[in-house]
Amino acid sequence: MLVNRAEWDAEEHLFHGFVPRIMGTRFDLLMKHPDGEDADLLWWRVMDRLEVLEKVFNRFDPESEVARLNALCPTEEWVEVGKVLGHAIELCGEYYHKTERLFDVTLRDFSLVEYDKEQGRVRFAEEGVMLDFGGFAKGYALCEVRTLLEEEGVECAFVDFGRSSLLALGHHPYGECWKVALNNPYTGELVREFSLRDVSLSTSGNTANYAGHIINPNTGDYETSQMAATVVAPNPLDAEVLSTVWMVADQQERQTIAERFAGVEFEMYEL
Amino acid sequence: MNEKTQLQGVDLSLRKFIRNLGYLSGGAALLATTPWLTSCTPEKLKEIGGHKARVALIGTGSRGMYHAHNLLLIPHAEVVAVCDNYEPHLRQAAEFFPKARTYDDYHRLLEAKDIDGVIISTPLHQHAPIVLDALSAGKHVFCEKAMARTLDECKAIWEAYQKTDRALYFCMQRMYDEKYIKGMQMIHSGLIGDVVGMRCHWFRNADWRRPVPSPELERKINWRLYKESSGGLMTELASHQLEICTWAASHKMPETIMGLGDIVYWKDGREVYDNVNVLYRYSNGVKINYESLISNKYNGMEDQILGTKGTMEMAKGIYYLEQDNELSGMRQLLESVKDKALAAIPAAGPSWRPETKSDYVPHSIIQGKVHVNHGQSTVGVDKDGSDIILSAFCQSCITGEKAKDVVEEAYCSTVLCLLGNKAMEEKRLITFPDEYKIPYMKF
Repeated sequence: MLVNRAEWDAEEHLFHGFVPRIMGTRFDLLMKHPDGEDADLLWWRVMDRLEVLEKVFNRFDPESEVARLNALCPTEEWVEVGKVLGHAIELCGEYYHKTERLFDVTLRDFSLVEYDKEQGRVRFAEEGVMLDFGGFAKGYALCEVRTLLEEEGVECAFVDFGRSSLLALGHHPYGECWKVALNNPYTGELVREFSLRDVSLSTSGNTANYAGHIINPNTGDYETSQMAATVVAPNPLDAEVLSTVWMVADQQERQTIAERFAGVEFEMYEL
Repeated sequence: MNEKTQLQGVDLSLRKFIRNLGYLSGGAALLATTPWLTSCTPEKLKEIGGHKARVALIGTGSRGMYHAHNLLLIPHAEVVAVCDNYEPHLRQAAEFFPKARTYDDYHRLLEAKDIDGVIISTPLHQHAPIVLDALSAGKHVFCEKAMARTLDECKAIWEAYQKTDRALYFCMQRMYDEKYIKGMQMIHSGLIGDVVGMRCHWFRNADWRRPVPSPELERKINWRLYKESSGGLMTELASHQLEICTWAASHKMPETIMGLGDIVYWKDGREVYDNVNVLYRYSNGVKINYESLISNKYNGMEDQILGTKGTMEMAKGIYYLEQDNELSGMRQLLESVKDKALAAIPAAGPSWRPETKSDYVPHSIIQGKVHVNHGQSTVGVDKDGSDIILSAFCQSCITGEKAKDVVEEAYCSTVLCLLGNKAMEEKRLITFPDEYKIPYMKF
């Protein structure tokens, strides 16, 4: 069972739950719900789902499916993968192509990953290939959370996954949207305010304490500039994937990629 | 509030909580961490149908009458007899339960065949003889804390419990208090990280005396103040709190004990300390810091469990997380709803500005109205689990099912209290004596 906490504000019909540590970060869900107990049950379903995804994607957990696949590094034999991992690899392939090969969960060359969708199995073309879903899993999880919330008829919710991946459904109880501010991590100054409604916002960038964690798979260089990227997209996974891509893409690539993702708002900031 | 609605509030809240555990994923595992609750599930309560436990009160002073009031609200309990060797107390119980027979000698009461269980609320030194006699007489037994006045008596009770098929409860009410149960589950699930320290204290500002109608009754009425009948602050107050420590540490017990006790303020002829500081040290170096005095009440009562990731204040039903100073985004969002205002929250920064001051935010362990025991009542407070553990006992009187771990927890905490007294009296570092170890304990 995940360590978690939940609070119900009966007056506001507002449910707040959080998991202090999941996929290496914190997960918060705030939702309007007519019934506290139903909200709680929904919260448990959300956590169940997160736990499942954690067991697939967390490569730091040696028992996770990704960690086992990486350890095995199947170059000759095909290895069967579960539905979720198979689906993720398939999506990663699509993003790889749609982002001019900038989104790459192998961090070097995704074309070395062979995925057999029919049989649900995978193998690598070379030794040393590894999958890292760090810039993918939170967005994937947010998509699933959104589905769970929508199935239950939740119209207003704010989900904060690791503070850099947000999902805003409907609006704040006292406003027409959810308002979010991007602050400069180096100075604390306000960079931009967002009014979010039925969209996802993802940010990527370097901070004073945490820089050089984004790598350009095409050049192998670490991105260390004092920059931040934000992406607002209807689909949380698009936002998650594209915010990292935006940090490493050049002008030409950005133009090409933007044309492929209609309805997505990209922004780059010098900090 | 009529009796029925009160009952729902009193007896059913925890049972509802237990039931809900069963509905949740991981709920069965949670219930397994509190095995004593499995003998009082709503399903088992249903099974007893209209049966009533025929119980008798032995000791009808303030605490005995506190239980008497709770018994009125337990539908599966019937008080058939009351006993006290102090006439005014016996009279008040007889007036409260006009149909119950009265006894001034508990031995005679134990001979009665129509009594399933006894509820003992006597001075501490009488616990062991009455508990042992009642078990021998085939009665189910519910006894006030602490377990007994001496270490050897505790051991004798524990041994008797190994042999009997009767249910035995000690009033470790925190084990039946929802906020403690949930708080412990949070601790055990890792919410506050590794437990690195425990700080328990109980402060009052009162002399702890009861009015005495005539001088020869001093030791009988004010038994709490004299060593032959009382272990003082340790057995009367610390016993509950040290149980919390045992529970939090999953039966791991301190290896060494030291302490200092004094009579600082109430120099009125009493023998027990009015000011104690006891330090319990586990083999891994973690310590329980216990402090109690009864001439200043500023700090009240609290059981604080300190973890690497957070702090639990069990008595208040509140916890604090170390990382809260990083969470201002979500906190501001929640605040904005409270203020009924839409405000932009700094939620999307690639990172957060560290706050220079750690302003800890209290989080509630349970939702709704939390019943906080401020520790100032010398009798007992409402909704602290005492009613539920008593109800569970009455259920056991009918089913014969023992409540797992309750005796063990009472044994562990009482032994710790008595060893604390021993350390203070002998003014030395005490190593936990082998002869008082039981298999339940880990070191």
